[in-house]
Amino acid sequence: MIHLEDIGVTFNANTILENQALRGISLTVAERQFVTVIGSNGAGKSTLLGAVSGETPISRGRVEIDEVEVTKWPVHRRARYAARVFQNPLAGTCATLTIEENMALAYGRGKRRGWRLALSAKRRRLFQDRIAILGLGLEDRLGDSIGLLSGGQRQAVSLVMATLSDSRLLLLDEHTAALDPRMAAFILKLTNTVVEEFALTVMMVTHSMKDALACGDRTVMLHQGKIVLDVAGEERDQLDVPQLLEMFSKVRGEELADDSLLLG
Amino acid sequence: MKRLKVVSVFCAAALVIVSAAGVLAQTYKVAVSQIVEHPALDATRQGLLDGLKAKGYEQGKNLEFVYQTAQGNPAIAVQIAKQFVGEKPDVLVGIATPTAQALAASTRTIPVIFTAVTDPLGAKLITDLEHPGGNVTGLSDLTPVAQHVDLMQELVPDLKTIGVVYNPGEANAVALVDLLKSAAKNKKIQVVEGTALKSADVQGAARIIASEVQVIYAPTDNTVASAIDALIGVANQAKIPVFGGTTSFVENGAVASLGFDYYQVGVQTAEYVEAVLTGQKVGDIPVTFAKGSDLFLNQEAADNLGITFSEAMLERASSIKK
Amino acid sequence: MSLFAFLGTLEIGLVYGLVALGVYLTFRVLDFPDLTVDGSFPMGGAVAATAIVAGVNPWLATGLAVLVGGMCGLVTAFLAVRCGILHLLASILTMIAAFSINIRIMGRPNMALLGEPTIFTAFDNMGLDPLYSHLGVIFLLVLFAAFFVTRLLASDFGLALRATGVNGRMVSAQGGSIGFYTYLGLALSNGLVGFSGALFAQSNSFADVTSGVGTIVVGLAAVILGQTLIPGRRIWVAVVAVIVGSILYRLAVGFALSSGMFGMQASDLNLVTAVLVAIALIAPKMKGKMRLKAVQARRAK
Ligand SMILES: Nc1ncnc2c1ncn2[C@@H]1O[C@H](COP(=O)(O)OP(=O)(O)OP(=O)(O)O)[C@@H](O)[C@H]1O
Ligand SMILES: [Mg+2]
Repeated sequence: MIHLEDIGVTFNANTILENQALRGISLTVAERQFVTVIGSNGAGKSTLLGAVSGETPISRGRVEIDEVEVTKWPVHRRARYAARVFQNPLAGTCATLTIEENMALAYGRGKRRGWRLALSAKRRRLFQDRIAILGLGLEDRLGDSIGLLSGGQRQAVSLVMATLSDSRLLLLDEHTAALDPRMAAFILKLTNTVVEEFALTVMMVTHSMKDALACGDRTVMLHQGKIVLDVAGEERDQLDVPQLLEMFSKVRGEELADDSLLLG
Repeated sequence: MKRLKVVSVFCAAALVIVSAAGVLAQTYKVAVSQIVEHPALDATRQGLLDGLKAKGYEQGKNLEFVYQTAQGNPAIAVQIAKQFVGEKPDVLVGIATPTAQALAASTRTIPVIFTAVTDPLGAKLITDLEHPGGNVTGLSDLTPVAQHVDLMQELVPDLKTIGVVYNPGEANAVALVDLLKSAAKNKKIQVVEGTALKSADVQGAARIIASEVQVIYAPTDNTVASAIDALIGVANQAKIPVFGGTTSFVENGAVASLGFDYYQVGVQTAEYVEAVLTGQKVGDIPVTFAKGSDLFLNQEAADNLGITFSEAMLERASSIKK
Repeated sequence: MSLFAFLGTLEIGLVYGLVALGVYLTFRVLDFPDLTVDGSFPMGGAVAATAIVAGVNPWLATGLAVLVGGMCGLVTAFLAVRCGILHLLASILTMIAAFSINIRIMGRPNMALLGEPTIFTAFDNMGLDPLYSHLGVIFLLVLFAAFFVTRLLASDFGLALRATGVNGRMVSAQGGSIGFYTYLGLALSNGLVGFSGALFAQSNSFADVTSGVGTIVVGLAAVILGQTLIPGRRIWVAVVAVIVGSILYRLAVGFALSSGMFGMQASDLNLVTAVLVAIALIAPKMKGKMRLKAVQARRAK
């Protein structure tokens, strides 16, 4: 479903601020695979998702989605394939529009947006049915401005919005990080349900080792713009959180060792 | 209750007096719409007022003289026109092109007298100078530009280049500069143009051309008129004379000017207003070009620049500023 | 204010209502401060006048003015989207360029239409009183434009346009090109403004390059005034509000002009405009504060 070939991203190239956020990442994600992405702050996780969605311009490499090369495509063109939920609940919705208008916007993803009424009776019914699944009572509040909802409610709506058009790829960048633990758990559960129901391929960035192992069927660890761990199947099933944490600190320890070598 | 009665009696009495006054001496209402406030147009209005007074129409006695300026904004000129037409005055006077057009477009019945309009045919105010026909006639202030070029040559004997600062957005100014260019061409004099879209640009435009020319011509352009002091300041620094397109510029420091004093244009406009008030048919009153080309000289400015006026010139002058 | 002046004021208010609609689309919907209108308004007039004098059917000439106005918007969008020039600056560039182009179009700074056919001529020939018929025609045209804008903003396209001004990142994540909506939004806005310019020229019988000065201020005043007096989130409410705002603005100007009223004169107009807009901006805050105080007072009890 996703095929990345030797992706390199350099911010502020040829300046003192030059920063190689991704250094040659190759990754192939199969149809219906659910990949969790972990790594320390600044490891390049968001940049990697950005390279897939098109939000981050890449300096080298090649991006394919669904066997179509999309390397040069702008974000809005790739949106036909990929739905996204952001870390910041404000980022994924339009605060001044109503819930149903936000949903109508998502409904139009990958379609031509023309003169047709954005909110027909038929669409309203569809939105009502879909949002009722959340069990948050939002189906009676479709006409409310989405800015009135809590962060968790907004993320829940964002997830529903991600399923309103037929993109099969879902990109989640720490979409539970801004929520309280209870809401985070709810959103994660909802994510799993949605992924199951709509047979989605997923890349999910998280800082929770527990979630990284509990969700999905493959885990990738990034460090300094490189993939340092890529586990799936049985190997992954046998991993537990302490082991993962140990690997995590080992990678960072090596970094320290390198530094001390250099300094020594 | 009693007080109410007193008041109503008083009101009735007042009404009687007012209507009696109306019968005794008819008051005429003249409404003047002016595009923008600047010395030349203000002088026109004053001339009109004084001219009317000389003919026996005195403000506060038998004349109601209302006046509005559009602040240079044609949309406001239109609103002023609607306002005035709604007040049903005896005569409407439009000073400058857009105000005259706005008035003419707002009424087909109330007489409209335009003044200080350079090209009334081009502005479609009228279709025939001799016999306007409709409810519009007036006075054109087409500047005697050819005479101006003659005079500049008299002032600067070896005249090769004339500079001119104007706003290409003003209909009047563009027409004038065209006249200037054709008059200069006949005498093999070059015209260097400096354009200023707003009064703040006049100084800069003058600076740019000052070094290349022997004399600067200041046309009767509303933008230039608003910044005439800045223009003359630049010319003084560059030690070149400014020739005024209107005599009012001489007061500001222009060396010489031949033209109509806009005050006199106003006085001539009063003749049109009087003609209408005395019952002449507007359509039968021909459009005329403003006359009274007076020569204004500025001795002080000439001395500063080392220019001497010829005896003949001094003789002809109707005003010399010492 | 006489009936004639009142109807005339209504007429100008309606004509400038189209400007208010355009400004509403850019400032409020797209969040793109667009000063292009100072150039596209006189350009609409210039194009319509020139075409009419050249013998083009007045309705066609008006359509042409809409198209050319829209093109001004496209130029600004091009400068902002494609060349990355700050939006305000991009629109100022188009605005000053338009001034020169307008003179080129007409070949002169002022073009008169007195005696030329206009979209009103047919109605005048039917023997209708122009005082009412012109107002009626303009009212219907503005009504049509208002319907069009309302319906457009309720469409799939319009929804994306509205979101573009609030959350561009979300729009592209949902497959909408921000550039595309900026182009079309500006074209639409300036098309309306060009339409307004064409109507202004025809109802007042002249097009003048200086008529663009301050169009943005007038449009903004109308939007702010209207939306303060008639608040509401619904699109049709906002559309009606900005047109009403334009009429109220013109009425305020008219009252300032009515000889002797409050001792005001035309030169006070800029002050009147500034005060009106300031009041409109402050009023909602004051209202909010007063409500807060009332609540606090109730709590204290
Ligand atoms: N727009 C940008 N301009 C310059 N540098 C950037 C930009 N975006 C990211 N970076 C840098 O690239 C590196 C990778 O950033 P990225 O956001 O991908 O990290 P991350 O793994 O998502 O971290 P976090 O867990 O904090 O979200 C960091 O060093 C960051 O400073
Ligand atoms: Mg990140």
